[in-house]
Amino acid sequence: MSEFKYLFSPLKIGSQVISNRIHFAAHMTNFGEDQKISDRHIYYYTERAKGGCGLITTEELTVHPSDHAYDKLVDAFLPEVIPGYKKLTQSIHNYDTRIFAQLNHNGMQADSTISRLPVWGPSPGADPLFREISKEMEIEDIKECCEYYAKSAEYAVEGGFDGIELQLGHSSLVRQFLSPATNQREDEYGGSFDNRMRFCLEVIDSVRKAVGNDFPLGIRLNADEMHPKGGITLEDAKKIAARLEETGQLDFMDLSIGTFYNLFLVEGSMHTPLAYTVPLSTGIRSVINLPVFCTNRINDPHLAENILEGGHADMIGMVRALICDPELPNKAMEGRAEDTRHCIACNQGCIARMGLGYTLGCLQNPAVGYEEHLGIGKLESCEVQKKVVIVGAGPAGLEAARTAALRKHRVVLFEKNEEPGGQNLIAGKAAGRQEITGVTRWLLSQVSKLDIDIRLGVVADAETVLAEKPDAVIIATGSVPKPNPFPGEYSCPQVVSTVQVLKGEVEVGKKVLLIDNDGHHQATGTAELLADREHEVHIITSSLFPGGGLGPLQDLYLTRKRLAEKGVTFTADIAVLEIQGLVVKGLHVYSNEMMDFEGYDTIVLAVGSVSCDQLYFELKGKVKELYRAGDCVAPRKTDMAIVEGHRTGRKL
Amino acid sequence: MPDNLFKPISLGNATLPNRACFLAHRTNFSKQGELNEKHTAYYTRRAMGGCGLIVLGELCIHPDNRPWESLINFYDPKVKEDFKQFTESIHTHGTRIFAQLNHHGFQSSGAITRKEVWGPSANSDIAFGEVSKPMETEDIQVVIDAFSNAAEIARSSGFDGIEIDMGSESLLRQFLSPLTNHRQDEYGGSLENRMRLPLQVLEAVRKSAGSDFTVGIRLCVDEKFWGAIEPDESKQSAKLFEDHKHTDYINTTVGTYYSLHFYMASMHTPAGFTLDASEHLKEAVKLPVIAGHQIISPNMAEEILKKGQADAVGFIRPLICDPDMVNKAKDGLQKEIRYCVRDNKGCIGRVNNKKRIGCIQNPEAGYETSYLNEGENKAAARKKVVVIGAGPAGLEAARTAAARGHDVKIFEASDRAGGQINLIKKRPSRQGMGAVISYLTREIEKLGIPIITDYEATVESVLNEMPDAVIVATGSKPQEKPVPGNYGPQVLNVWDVLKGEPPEAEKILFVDENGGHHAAATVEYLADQGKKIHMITGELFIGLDLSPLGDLSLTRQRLLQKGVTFAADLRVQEIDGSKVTCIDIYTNKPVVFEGYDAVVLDMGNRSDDKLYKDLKGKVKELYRAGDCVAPRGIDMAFLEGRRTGELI
Repeated sequence: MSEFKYLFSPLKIGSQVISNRIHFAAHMTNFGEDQKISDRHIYYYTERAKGGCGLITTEELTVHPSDHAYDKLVDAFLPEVIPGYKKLTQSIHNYDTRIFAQLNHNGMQADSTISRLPVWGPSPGADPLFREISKEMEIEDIKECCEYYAKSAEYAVEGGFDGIELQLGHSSLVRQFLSPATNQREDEYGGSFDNRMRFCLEVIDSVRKAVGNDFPLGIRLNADEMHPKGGITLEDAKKIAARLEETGQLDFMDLSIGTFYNLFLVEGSMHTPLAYTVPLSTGIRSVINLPVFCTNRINDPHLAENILEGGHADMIGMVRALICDPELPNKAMEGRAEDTRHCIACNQGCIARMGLGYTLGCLQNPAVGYEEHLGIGKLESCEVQKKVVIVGAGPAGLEAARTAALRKHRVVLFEKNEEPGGQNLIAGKAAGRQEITGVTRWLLSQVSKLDIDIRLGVVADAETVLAEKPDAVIIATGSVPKPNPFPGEYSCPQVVSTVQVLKGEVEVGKKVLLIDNDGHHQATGTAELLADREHEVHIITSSLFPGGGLGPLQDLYLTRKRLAEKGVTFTADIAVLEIQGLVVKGLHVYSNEMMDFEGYDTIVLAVGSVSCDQLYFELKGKVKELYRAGDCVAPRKTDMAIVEGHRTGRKL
Repeated sequence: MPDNLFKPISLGNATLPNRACFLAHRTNFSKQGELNEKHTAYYTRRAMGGCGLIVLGELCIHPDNRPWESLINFYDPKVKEDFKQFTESIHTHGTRIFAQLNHHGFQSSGAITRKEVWGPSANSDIAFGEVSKPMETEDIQVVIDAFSNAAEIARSSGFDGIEIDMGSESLLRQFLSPLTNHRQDEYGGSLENRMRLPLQVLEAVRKSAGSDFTVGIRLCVDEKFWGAIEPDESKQSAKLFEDHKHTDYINTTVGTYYSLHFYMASMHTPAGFTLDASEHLKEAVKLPVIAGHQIISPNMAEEILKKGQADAVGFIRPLICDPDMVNKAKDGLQKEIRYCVRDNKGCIGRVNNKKRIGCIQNPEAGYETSYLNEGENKAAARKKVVVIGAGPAGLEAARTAAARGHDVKIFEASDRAGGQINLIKKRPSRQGMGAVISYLTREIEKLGIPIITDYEATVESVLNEMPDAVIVATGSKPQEKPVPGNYGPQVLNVWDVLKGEPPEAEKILFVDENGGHHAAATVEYLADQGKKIHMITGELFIGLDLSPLGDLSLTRQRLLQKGVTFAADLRVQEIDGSKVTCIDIYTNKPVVFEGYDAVVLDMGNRSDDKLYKDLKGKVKELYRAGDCVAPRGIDMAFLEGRRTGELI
């Protein structure tokens, strides 16, 4: 018996028994091709089945042509989708995992740019993200929508799915009908609670009729919209849940939170607490008997076990946790929970890429979306063992070392600092960013289990490397803040970099001017840290607003809120042209007026880095195999450091 | 007929039947990197319309260069079969087809390729924001080989020539430009050094494509940025390209991602504003020079050719909007051309948002497959059709229905056709939108469709017409009370401001929930009347929708220079008299605006759907189109008008 008594107990959902309580819940992947399930989908989901989760729910599949919210959405209402379904479900059924299809219509949380059709909503209104006014659905639209739900459900059954989940959550037409914030109808579908429930009940009824009584059917219910204009609250959701249970047509209730007004709750980053929606499942579970699922920032099997043990939920949804580590369930079951690569909710590889229209990825797991070639069991031992010298133990160097050592190469890893981790450790010093050092924590935990010769506190130069007589050398020496990024006479300690501030190398004065060409946490996280230490911080940026890179991470709103509340002020649209002493000369990029910023005690620069590529060029031509990875190629983010570290480790 | 435009010209060994060229641009049609039937239909339709040359862009010559998903793979010889069919389809219509070969350098990211981006030096592009790796010598060879390989693919796929892109979004321009090339080896520094890679590419391409194959370049003549490529230097480089003898023609462009408002200029930029680029090169070289950008009509093209400002003329948007423009000009039917208004929303705006290319006026753009396959779509039986509303949706519906053989009549409540376009026309620099209506009314007149103006249609009056089909296109109106409160007489909406005389007020608070020209151009109209305006928005900045159109920078610049002030992040909660109470969306603290002489709201429209609802069930066929379905843009009005006209 494993230490996880509850997590690995089966759960009956309608006619199906799910082998454990880990649910890879529905989420966007952008893997769809031609509005159908792709092979990439299949490899991706199968990887999670292989990793041991009990239940998978597919990404949303749309039930109607009026919903084409994004390019890669799969059309569930066309019979052409069935062969892909079959291939997917058969692949999952090779494992002890069940797979449900999620059906949805995004309603007014969409626009017409792809569909060329009006978007449907209960009432005319514009979603904050898509900003297109919806057509108030006519009665025939409502009827047609129910028919399309039923048709789509039939195709899902034919495609071999074990169950269906209807999306009534953060992005769904059905929720828009349920919510007084979006439903202002004056007919039988709007107004009173019963009227707002009508469309929902009709959808469930038509789907239940289509799939028959034995087929598992559930919903993903929005348990709290937290809507600024007064939407569904937990108390409302309890009433909805109880009323839906009464129908006897449902087998489970999965939950969600928030809408596009507050995506930072739908897709909570490391700035939100772990397991932040547990109160919702506790609340819903207190009023119904159906199994209740809880999701959002549950990234660890012990945490999941505690939630189950405490009676807060019957099933634990893990999305990012299993994107990051598909083997989390098996590791927990086999007593290797300490090997779990925890999702750090940085949102860079997953959610941000979704928002930008790219395929799903993961900052820590380079195999995401590439499971066919990089997935579980695809790392083979080398044919010829080589002696590999790696310089730099940041994320790139550590991942390269881990991969090379797993392949049975002999690895020597040099790091000039006493502590491995590189810039990842510095990033973790910014306000609220500690969790990002999980990257280093996991890599070190794995590297320490392998036979790797780590030499800390050694500055490796060409001579040091060559003295090792390596067969292959990987340079992962990272990057440093740009020296003298602007013209003018200025120097430390009046003008310093965010890195110097975060490392605590410099004294920072009371009044701080932070020049933000970064748009990311490096700038705002440093500003917040300084504000927390009672500095008065003013940010200037050449972008339209500070935090330009934070939007897709769902970190913009809370970051800006915290900064505003902590008294950080800013001026946008300012391109810095020159610094003289403590005077910053900026150009307003629209009015073309010059502006001086002065009267500050310290100027902090977040204006980019330069590669440390000297060692690479010194060694070029002097060793048999020479590679480089991460920032020393070009300064980018951690995801690329890990991808390149991994790729290099595989190449040797 | 514009004679010069229809004189054949030779670019190398390729002879173009006329001098109208459909230049390279993004369409975003490709899925999974493949050429597909949408490309073939889209370009074939332009060939059918008579243009002399098509340059196919968005080709991907190396897998590690993929700034966006929809590039078409052009590095694997396996693609030749697809491209052979494509080029044959173009050749059927006597049009020449070139392939544009490009590497985007650091105007790209690793988000798709998971590789570093390459540049001459460590730079980060303003749009992609990713720092490039300075290319090593072996990387340079990879690029040369990629061009050379792609050139061979082009030749054996039936293309008539290739164009090497050294334009606004290219690695080769990044090498040419002192702004982005800081190398200290033989590829950087002097002009000779900066030209080294472009010349090596041309040599390699010439070798693989053969001496008889047309090879041209697209040269960025003026980067329009401090310390960047300027026309004087471009004259020198053009001469060197000519002397180097591997270049058969030079196509010109200006701007980079730093200056999208030049590179993808909208109606706010004067037509022909880049002609100096080709003029400069004409002074420097004997090679044929092509002018592009903002050449908006065949007559203008004719003037350019007559004056010797260029040897051939590039069009993109005009041919997206009216694929038959060239043939119409040839037949002396200039009056029937549907002119591009350079609104940019359907084409550039969509492409920049990763959507497939379209056109606000031409709903067929991007959907040529269905139109080409269906052919003539005459009505089976002539029906009596009543259209209510003579905005773009109603007019396009009427035009389509009548062209298909129906008997159509239009009722319009106001005194003229045009609907909301009549308001748009009042805004500074948006007058060009009027051409949308001029085109439609010309066509309506040609088809003999009566427009009954000043006629408020009622259920009764519609039924009295005994129609077989009714199309309601009654548009939308500003929301009466978008937020709660007791509105004073100082509270106006955009229509109030534009319809009559401008308000007496001096100090105006303008609430922008629109984010586009609707708000910004109205404010500019008021600012031009000497008003002092403070604009507030719940979004992160003023002009949220303008960036994909290439209109953000100049619009913000004009507004600020006209004394308009901005405040962002404010959600309006309540209006009492002229007092406007907002909350700061981050701090949730109230922010109150008082003391303004007028408050102008741009907070969205609501459909005028009463007549539709009243008629429902009372007529045999009832349709609606445009804003009376849901208030959206003019693109949807056109599309739904067309679709409805085709349904009947």
